Formats: sequence, C-alpha cells, structure tokens
Amino acid sequence: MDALQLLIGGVANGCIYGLVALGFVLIYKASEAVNFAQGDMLMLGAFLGIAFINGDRADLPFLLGLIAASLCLGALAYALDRFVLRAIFGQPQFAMVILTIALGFILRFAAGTFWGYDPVSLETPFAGEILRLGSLTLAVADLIIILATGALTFTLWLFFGRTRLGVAMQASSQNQMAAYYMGIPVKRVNSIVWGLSGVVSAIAGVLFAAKGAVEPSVGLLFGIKAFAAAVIGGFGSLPGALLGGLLIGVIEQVAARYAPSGYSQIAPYALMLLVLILRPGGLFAQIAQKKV
Amino acid sequence: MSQSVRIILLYSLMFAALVAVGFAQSWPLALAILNMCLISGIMALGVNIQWGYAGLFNVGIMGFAALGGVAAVLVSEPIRGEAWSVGGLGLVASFLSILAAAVAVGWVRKHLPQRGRGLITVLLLIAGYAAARQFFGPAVGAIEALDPTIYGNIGGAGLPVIFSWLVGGLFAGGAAFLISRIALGLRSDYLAIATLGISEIVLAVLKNEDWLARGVKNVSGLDSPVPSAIELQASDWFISFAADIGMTTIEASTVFVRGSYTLLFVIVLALLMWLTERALHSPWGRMMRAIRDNRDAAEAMGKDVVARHRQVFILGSAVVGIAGAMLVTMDGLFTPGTYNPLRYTFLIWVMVIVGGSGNNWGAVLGGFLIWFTWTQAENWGPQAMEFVTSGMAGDSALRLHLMDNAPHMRLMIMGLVLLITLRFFPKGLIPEQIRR
Repeated sequence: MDALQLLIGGVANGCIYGLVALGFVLIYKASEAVNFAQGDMLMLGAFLGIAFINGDRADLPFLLGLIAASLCLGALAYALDRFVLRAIFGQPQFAMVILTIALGFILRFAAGTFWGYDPVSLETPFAGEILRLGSLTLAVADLIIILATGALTFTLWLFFGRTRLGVAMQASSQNQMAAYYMGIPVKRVNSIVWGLSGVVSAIAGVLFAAKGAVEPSVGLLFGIKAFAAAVIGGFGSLPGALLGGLLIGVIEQVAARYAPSGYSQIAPYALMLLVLILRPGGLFAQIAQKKV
Repeated sequence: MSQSVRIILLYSLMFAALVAVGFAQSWPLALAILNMCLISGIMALGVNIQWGYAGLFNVGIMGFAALGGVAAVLVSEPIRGEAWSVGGLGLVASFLSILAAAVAVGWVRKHLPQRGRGLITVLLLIAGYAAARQFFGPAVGAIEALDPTIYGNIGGAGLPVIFSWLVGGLFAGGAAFLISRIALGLRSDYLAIATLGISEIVLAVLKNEDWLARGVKNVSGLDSPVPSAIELQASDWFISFAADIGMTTIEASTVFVRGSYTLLFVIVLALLMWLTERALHSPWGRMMRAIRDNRDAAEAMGKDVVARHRQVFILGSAVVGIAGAMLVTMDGLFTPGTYNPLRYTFLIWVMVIVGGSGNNWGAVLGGFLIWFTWTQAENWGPQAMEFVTSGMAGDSALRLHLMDNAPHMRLMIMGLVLLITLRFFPKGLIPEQIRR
C-alpha cells in the first residue's frame, strides 16, 4: 500500500515534469534549439494562474482562470518567437541558447518585480482534500493532475494526428524545406508551436501551483529536471518526454523515501546519466543520427 | 587598432581601475579583488579551452571548482591515524567492491551477447552496491563518531597545501574523463546536461559525506602557503618594516599576505597562459580550430574528433580544478554550501563571452572585468533604486517595493552587461584572431 501511494504521488509530480518536457520537445522540433527558459515559462504560468484565480486577485473560477492563464502565456510565447527569436533565425545555435538563458533571467526578474519574491500558493477548490480508498490516502490534487495530464495528452494526440495544423507542424518539424515547398507557412507554424508550448507550460504551471508554493526562481531547477526528462525520453519524441517525466517524478519520490537524505535531489540526474550510458539515444531514440 | 595595442590598452584600463580602488577605498581591498580576479581569470581560461578551442558546452563548472576545493582539504589536512584505523579498512573494501563491480560490468558488456546482457548488468550493479554498502556503513559511522565537533572526517595527506593545486587539477580532470566517456560523441546539448548533472552530484556528495571533508560542517583553518598575518604582526622585523613604509602593522600584514598570494597566482596564471598560448599556436591548436569550425571536414582528413574533444575537455576542466583549489587555499576555508551555479557557472560563462571566446587574453580579461563589476555591482542596485525613487515620498508603497527588490538587480546588471557586449562586441572585447 505504501509503495502504491508513493507511486501515485510520484506519477502526479512526474506528469508536471512530463508536461514541461513536452514543451521542451515541441520547441526543439520547431526551432532546432533547446529553450532554456522553459522552466521559467512554467513559473510564469503558475503566477498567471494565481493572478487569475486567487480570491484577493481576479477571483475567477478555477477552470476559467486556467484557460485565461494558458491563453495569456500562449500569446506571450507566440509573440516571443515572432518578435524575438525569429530575429536571430539562421544565427549559430549558441546565439539561441544565450538568448533563451537571458530570457529566463528577464522573466524571473519581471515575475519578482510584479508578484514579489515570497512564495505564494494557488487557492483551488480541491486544496487539501483527501480521498480514502481502503487503506489508501490520496490527495485529490494528485488525482486531478494525473487526469488533466491524461486529457491534455489525448487532446494533443488528436490535434497532431487529425487536424490540418497539427499535421503541418509534424511536417515542418521533419523537414522544414520540404514543408515550405508544399505551401506550409513554416515560420508562422513555428510561432504557433511556441504558442502551443506556452499553453502546455501554463497548464503545467497551474497544476504545479495547485500542489505547492511558487516563487520566481522555482522554474530554474524544475526546468533542468524536465530537460533531463526529455533527454531520458530521447529528445524529439513526445511520448518519450512524457514517459521520461513520469520516470523522474517516481524516482524522485522513491529516492526521497528510501535514499539517504540529501540525495533525493540528484536521483533524476543519476537516472539520466544511467540512461545516457546504457541507451545513449534515450528510451525512444528517433533522432539519434541527427547532429546538431 | 591592432590586436596587441588593444590588449595592452584594455589591460591597462583594468589595472587603472584596480589602482583607483586602492587609492579611493583601501589597498587590502584592492588586493583582495585582484586575487579573486586572477582566480576568475584562470577559471575563464579553463572554460575558454573547452568552449573557445573546441566548442564544448560545459555547464558544470561549479562541480569542477568544488572538486579542486576538496583537493585542498584532502592534501593539506593532517593525517588522522585513528580515523584510518577505525574505518580505513572498511572504506578501502567498499571502494574495491565498487571497482570489482564496474570491471565485471565492463567485461560483461564487452564479451557477452546482446541478449540478456542488460539483466546481468543490473544484477551485477545491485550486487556491487550491496557489497559496498556492507563495508561502507560501519566504516563511515566509526569515522564520523570520532570528535565530531572538530573532525569527524578522515583528514588529509598532511602535505603542503600548494600541492593541492596540482591534485585539484587531477581530480577535476578525472571527473571530466568520466563525463567524456558518457556524453562526448553524443549530441552537443547532452554534454551540457551531463556536466550539469555531474556537478550537482559532486556537490551533493560533498555536502552529505561528512567523513570526506566534513560536509556542510565546513573545514576551516586550512594550511596556508604564505606566512600568516598573526605571525607577521608578532615578529620584530615586520613591525619595524611596517613603520618604515608608514602603515599600521595590521594593514601592512594584510597587504603582505594578500600580496604574496597575488604573486603566487600571477605565477600560475602566467604559466598557464604561456602553455595555452603555445598550444593554440601549435599544429594541435590549428587542428582544434579545424574541428570546431568544420567537424565533418576534419573527420574526413583523418582527425579523431571524439578523442581530441576528450583531450581538450579534460585539460579545460583540470584548469578549472586548479583555480578551485587556489580559491579554497586563499580562503583557508572549504564550504560546500556556498557553491552555487549562478556564481560558479553562469558568471564564468559571462566572463568568457564578454572577454572574447577563443582568445586566451580575452577570456582572462573577461575574468578580471566581470569579477570587478560583480563586486562593485553589489552597491549599484540599491544606489540606482535610490536615485529612481528619490522623487517619491519616503514611505510610498512603490518606493518600498522597489527598494526591497534592489538586491536582486545585481543579476540584472550581469545580464545587461552580457547583452550590451553581445550587441556591440559580438565576438567579445578581445576577439579571436584567425591567422591565415
């Protein structure tokens, strides 16, 4: 029972890691570069959620606030790609890396200036509620996170498989030039992918804030672990990113329980290094041959 | 403006700024900043070897610096015979069992067929871990129980601390070798995340393994390679010497100690600079540039790209390790809790990029300039906020809010310096010079 409970808590955390990793992979597929501000986008999403939902702020219902936050962050991410990142298109990859790192600093500073540096938490209708199933004690927040992630994943799967825009995104991530020749507006599609990544980050951020307190620097560490999750999944694979996130969430919980204190923080890195040693292309290697 | 004129001009401006601090504030402070500038310069040099020569993206500089730091403890602390007698055997046995497991895994993965290999690997790893744990737990318990308030660790080798600079280089180079086995030859951002992961792991080990270097209980009062200030203040010749140059004894002794460190650091920096410049202008250096600029062509010409990358990654990390050992030696204090990625990884990267990656003189200048700005910027944030809010009422909410946030502006200033440099000097203050 104890192990099952640990597993569910870990899966709930892992869902959030997985969603952020998903954001990494989406942007990687669009821009051929790693967005080092991904964790800070989660942080911003969490703060936006708090600003829309909490009683002393805008006081919207939970679902409405979640939608508002994801629309805001989606628009912001779209604008970032349209006006900032497109300007350095074609520059060496390192320019993009430095630019996204700098963006992270700016977002952190902006959030700190707007909302302060003290931890705040989200007021949710299900905060602190507990569900008892036999001897199992489950936090409702965990279950909602798992359900929401499942629903979002299903929606994304439908979107990529069934809609024109989703297929266009797949095409331009596989071969930009060929997609361009087929009449797909690759640049606009890339910006929309950024927007989509923003929406996913905002949902992840709101779910994250439903579990615990948020402060401006929370995104840095979270982003690094989600990056590790994407590496574990094999960069470039969407299901791989989710699975990597789940693995990281579970192993972190297990390590927090059984490993000597102080080491639970590094369990994700240890797992990642193990995967790099044993399966260098990640668990879902599909772009191992592609050089960056 | 020719390159050498530019170098001389920028370095003279830098030293003028340091001298200005000496006159305006105090000489001990100016020397303290100069010493940290020299150490930062050496770290930036190490990163420049990796990034500038070969384009390897190392974001685990913090871990290598900390490995250098722990070398200072392990070399210079006195040998603690009793700790070794209660726990030495157990430690050695646990390391041997890990080693045996690693060798067995290596053999299995080389000689057994693909099928079933994974399962045997996992079983061997678990067996090795269990065996190591068996010896490790009691040994560590015994060592940590000995005088836990003062020691509780296995001590060091009892050698002069200056040897630790070499040992620190070896430690960091060894860690770099391990990382290079894992992540070199894969995609370039995998190296970044692998170095980041390893540096976090190194820090977690240093913080939690009290038997090694006392963990977060810190080691203080390390051996010093220069005469101590207190000894100087007690000796007659120094008191009369201080009187001759017109300083108080205390100030003169501080200046003397810090000046001696400056001398040592300048020697190390000059030596490393000479070696790296020689390497850069040798056929080896041309080969590295060829690999960096067109990897495929270099590979087609028969260069072993992964082996060269490994070489340059180990060398660069070793230089960072040397700087880390020097830093701990100068402080006389090893505090694993104070290593953070912002100060030890991000800042060093800013140094290399602002100074000019690919150019050793540029990287070292970046080290000087950014450290100087970093120490001075501590006051700029509050001053700027004071200026901006000077028109407001003393107790207005906005003013108080802004003043509260002022300390966080130090990082903003670093980001601003980075962006301005990239805008106006995209290749850094002293850009790389390509000789044809």
